[in-house]
Amino acid sequence: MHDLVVIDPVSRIEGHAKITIKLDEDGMPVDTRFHVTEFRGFEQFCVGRPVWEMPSLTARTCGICPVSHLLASAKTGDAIMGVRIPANAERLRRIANLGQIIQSHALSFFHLSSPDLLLGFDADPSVRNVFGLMAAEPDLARRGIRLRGFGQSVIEAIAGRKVHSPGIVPGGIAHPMTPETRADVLDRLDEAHDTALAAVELFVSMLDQFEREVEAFGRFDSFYLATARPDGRWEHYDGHLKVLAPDGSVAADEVPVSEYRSLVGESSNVDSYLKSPYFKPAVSSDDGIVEGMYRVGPLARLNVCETMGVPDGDAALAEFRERAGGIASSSFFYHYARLIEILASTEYMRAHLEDDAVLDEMVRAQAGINHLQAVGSSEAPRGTLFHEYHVDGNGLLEQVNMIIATGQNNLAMNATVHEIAKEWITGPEIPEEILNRIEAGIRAFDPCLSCSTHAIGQMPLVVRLEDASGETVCERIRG
Amino acid sequence: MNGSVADVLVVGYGNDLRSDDGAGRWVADRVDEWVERLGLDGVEVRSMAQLTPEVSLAAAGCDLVVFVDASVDVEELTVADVSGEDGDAAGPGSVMTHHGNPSSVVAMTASVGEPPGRAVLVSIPASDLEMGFEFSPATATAADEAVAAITELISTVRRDA
Repeated sequence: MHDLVVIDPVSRIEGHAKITIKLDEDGMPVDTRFHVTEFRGFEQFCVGRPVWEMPSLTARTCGICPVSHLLASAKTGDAIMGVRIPANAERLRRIANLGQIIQSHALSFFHLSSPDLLLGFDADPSVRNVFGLMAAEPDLARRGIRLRGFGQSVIEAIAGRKVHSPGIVPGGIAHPMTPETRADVLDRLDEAHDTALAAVELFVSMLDQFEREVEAFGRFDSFYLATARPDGRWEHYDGHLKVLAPDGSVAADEVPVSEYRSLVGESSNVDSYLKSPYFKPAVSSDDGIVEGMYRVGPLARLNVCETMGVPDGDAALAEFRERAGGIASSSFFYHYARLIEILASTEYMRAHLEDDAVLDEMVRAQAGINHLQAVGSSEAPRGTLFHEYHVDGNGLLEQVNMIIATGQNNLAMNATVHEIAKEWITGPEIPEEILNRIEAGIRAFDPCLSCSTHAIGQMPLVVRLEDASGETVCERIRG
Repeated sequence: MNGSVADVLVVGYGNDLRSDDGAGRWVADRVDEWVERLGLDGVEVRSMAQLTPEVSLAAAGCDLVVFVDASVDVEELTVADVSGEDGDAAGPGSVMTHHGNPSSVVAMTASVGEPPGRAVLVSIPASDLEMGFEFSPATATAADEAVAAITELISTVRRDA
């Protein structure tokens, strides 16, 4: 007999999704699937459009990480044109991406996940939200909003507010930074840094309360893929691809982004529009893609790098690794890694802004179409983002492929939820605390399904229990 | 608040790659053009993919906040007052997802400043949410009506300030 526990859709993540947990005859979980049921058609929608439009078009697929798409698309455009962009264009792109990391991670931690952590996984859902947080921890909530506002203002200063004419373009940046903008961002950087530091300290102080979650969220092996640089410092914009094996050994290194297909295979699912990318060298047959399960995003980036490259970030990384016991395998540590990345981002941003070269007006290279195919990537808040374009001689797109971070984490999200289910589900009942933790397991990845499926949706929570014959024996709805 | 002219925030949001869903942003762009043409101080217009928490920073203390969105739940243009105490504030589609709703944004203003004097949601009827840039006829008509309604709201609050 097999029962199905269906959580459909998951609340507090983008898009429509459901989780199916298959139970064995003893009522124990034997398989877990994370489904996304929105239509995926964005790549086809882009075919026939000029490559110059792609930054604007792709940025509009998501209101949370538009800069990640702007960067990946603009970098693909750089490669189509065959240009080396001016040094200050790269500097400004980096600052914009740091702003993106700050605002996106702030939303994830302060607004989506901290209610679970501060109010408790078992708190009443009607108060276990950002408004409950505002009541219980008003200063933290206020600082979270202001931190996100800071990151967003940095983005607007460089990438622009009008998405139809973005400031990040193939060839570089549309407009240089003004002294006034530089001064304004620097003025507010101390508060952002202090908030990030306080958030790291707060998380560490809470960590011992969640020993069971830390253990259960990570009881599986995976590879870790991220962008890396030769000196081993944390990287978020450009470099080569590096993959660590579950034991921390190097599985692949110094792989150019243009050769991402040698590392990443893509498997389509019949019951989900979310593809399941896998680490190709570890998979010998189509049936074994789980062997190539890998994780991207903050956890992977902190595992792959040797140092953060900035003082406070390195101090935080040292404690992170001590607490993780080396390679951080628990998906629960995604939260921790996010906060360290916010902290380091404020430090990197200061270094960039205090360099007078940030005002250099040479920010854009101009060229026509010089290559008919190219790949660009960026480290989005949720992980490595790939864009691959094929164009004709006029720069009109003939083929588009985008590999989104949330999709790359799909197999690992399945594994995380499966481990949580194994830890807490002991029969056909679905107590509230189990639902809370399953949702939290998915939220640890901060999935953005509007990116990965290019759609948006509402998120009421439906929990359905089916017996082996497919009949619903229990259903609960939240939201 | 500048003490002499009303502070107004207009926020149009939606996915403008999905046909009618982009109506809120289109309306915001038209209102922005009107504001620029008249050189109005104290009026900020934003066009966004989705509502996010930091909008509350701009909304706090305003005399008027206007949210503009496409909706499959209305058959004609509607203008409804929004309260931060609505049951929707923490419900589905709230800031508990990556995208918020007007009630949640208004509720959050209390965390960062003063709630706005008035907040309204202008809902534009939508029926076609497939990928594309064109509006269906009913949405196109209602979008024009929304521009007129919002400019009137702004003019009124500025006269009364």
